[in-house]
Amino acid sequence: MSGRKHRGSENMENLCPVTRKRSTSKNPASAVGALVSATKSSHYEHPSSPSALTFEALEEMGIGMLDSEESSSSALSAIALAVSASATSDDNSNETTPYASVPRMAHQLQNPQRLSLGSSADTTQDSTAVEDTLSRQSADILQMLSQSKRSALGTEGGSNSNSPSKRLRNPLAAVTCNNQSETAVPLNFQPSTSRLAQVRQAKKPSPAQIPARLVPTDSFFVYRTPAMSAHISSGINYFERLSDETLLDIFKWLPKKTLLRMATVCRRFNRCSRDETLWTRLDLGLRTIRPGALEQIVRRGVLVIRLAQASVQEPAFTPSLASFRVRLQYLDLSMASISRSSLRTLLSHCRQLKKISLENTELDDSICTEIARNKALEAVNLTMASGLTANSVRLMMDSLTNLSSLNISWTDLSADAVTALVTHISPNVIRLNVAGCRRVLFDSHVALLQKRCPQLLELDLSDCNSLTPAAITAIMKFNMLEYLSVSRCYLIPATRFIELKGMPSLTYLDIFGMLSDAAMEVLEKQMPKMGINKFIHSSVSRPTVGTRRTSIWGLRTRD
Amino acid sequence: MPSIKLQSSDEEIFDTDIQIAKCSGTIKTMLEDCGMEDDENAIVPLPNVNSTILRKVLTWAHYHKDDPQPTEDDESKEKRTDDIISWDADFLKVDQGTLFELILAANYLDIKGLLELTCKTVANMIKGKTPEEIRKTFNIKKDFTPAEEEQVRKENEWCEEK
Repeated sequence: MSGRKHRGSENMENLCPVTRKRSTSKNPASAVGALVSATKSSHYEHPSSPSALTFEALEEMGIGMLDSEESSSSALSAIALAVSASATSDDNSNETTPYASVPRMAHQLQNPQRLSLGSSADTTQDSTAVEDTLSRQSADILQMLSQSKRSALGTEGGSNSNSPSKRLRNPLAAVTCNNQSETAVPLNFQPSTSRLAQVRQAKKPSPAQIPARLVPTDSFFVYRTPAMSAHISSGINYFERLSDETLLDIFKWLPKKTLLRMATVCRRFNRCSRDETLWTRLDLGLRTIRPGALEQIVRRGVLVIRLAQASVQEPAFTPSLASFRVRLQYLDLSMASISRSSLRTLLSHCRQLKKISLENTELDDSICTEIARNKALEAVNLTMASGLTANSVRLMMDSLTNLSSLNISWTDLSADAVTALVTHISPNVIRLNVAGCRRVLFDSHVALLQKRCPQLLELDLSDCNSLTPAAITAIMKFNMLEYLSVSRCYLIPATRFIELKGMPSLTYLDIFGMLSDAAMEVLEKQMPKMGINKFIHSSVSRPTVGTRRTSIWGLRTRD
Repeated sequence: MPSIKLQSSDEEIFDTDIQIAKCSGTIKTMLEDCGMEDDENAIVPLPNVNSTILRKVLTWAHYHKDDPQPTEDDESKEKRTDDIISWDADFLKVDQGTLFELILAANYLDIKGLLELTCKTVANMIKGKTPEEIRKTFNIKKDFTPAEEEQVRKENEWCEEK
């Protein structure tokens, strides 16, 4: 702590203002007021204390600090100081401080860091003559007060009446409340350990004597819950002073769950919490989405959403004719439970999708029509989806000319659908997974595909077990192919794989389930530079791969 | 090192190292646009910041004078609020009024780091509280009609609580 103080004082020296408007005062009464606050400030290490001893500042520090998010540690250190002082001089510990320190006012105001040390020392000295000093101090201080009642009392009322509660805030915290007023008599709030409180109470003249302007009109409330008292303020809603823009600067640091809660606080928060800048990314994977919520979600202007394995409850959308703008660009509905009608409605609002994953979802022609209207789609993952037809495949392939990555594996395609696929697929596609087309994907399809997409980098034909050695001949013509999977294509004899050595671009070859360990060793010797059986799962168009579960297609879904 | 004079709203003058003052985008622009950099006696008026707050701001700026410039790229950065260094946390052990004054000042003076820090601090005060606790903490009045409140509640309940 001392280290921190030291640094603080260094800073103060460096930043010391040229002119000091209200510095030290010859008036002893205001000096007492100032000193008391300086003492307090030193306890709390308020960095602005040395030259900010205005009543406004004191009020800020006094009433305000009560409510500030002060750590218990600094409160404790304040208590510790008070306790260490009272250990030596018992009753008058707190009171001796103002008295004994008055002569050194100017010095101490310059250097608040030393104040607390000085106070303790004074206290120790005074403890030798407790009785004497106590009475003298009281008399002196009362005299000062009467000399300049106005300023001194103003100071006291403004700040000191709160100080006992500040030091001993928990578990019982006294809190001022501005909207309670005149007639309310201050509650006799005296924490048992606070001598200071008793002194203040005793010294305080009757309210009638105090000028109206400076009457501490606040009454006290006692809050018993520490968690709530920590931030309770003086009745001012400071958010009202912030512009919406600044409010968003705060909101952007809140988790989505908190943002939703903020919407229910007040109208303004409700309005601001919907700002689309706050809703760029959203991860609702594995969640159960309440009826109507999906509509709320997409209306917020979400760009990137992960709904993998989410369960979307019906109805997801309110039946209304009004269309609304949806900004969605990256949509991950992998393994999600969503009805066809809800999926259709969702996609009917989407026109800017760039990547979509509908892994293992139920599709139909109308859904595919909506997908096809997202001309910007670059990556589509339909693996294990049901309901694809030759028509819908043709429509999508014709429309999605920007497609570069397609996973349409295990979708139970018909032979016609496969033909539609390989003849209409965008020539821009560089990664394609058509695994699982048992008995419907033939060597001729591979040849057609090679003509349509000669620049493929990645091709997964695993479990297309109608392929024969002729397919290898067609595959050899892909002169940019880097990855090939022909796992479990049992009609292709193992010896034919050695031919693939002749493809200079090919780096990885997956042939799971085809060779014995011995045969594999032979093959590896034949093709020392080839990575064989390195990838069990295809990554084509998949939003989440490996351990990266909160990013989809490399984009974060959480803030 | 060259210094300049900053004048708070209550007309207090702060002799400030020019490099520290320039962490404020507003002051930096003012100095560069008005060619005040070489003028030792020039006074930069800051009518929206009082001396108490300006002193705090300059204390912060002095401590952070060697920080790297915050990057403009807001998107790629992860939004964490638990990365406040202990000096900053101590610095912001102030009452709510001062904290919000600092937000306003950081915004007006265009000091990104301080704005981020103060906003994070308020966000941390909000986190984990119920709507009612948030209202109590910040003295916010619930201004919904019962019907509105019901509507808003429905619109913001998205997920089953886990």
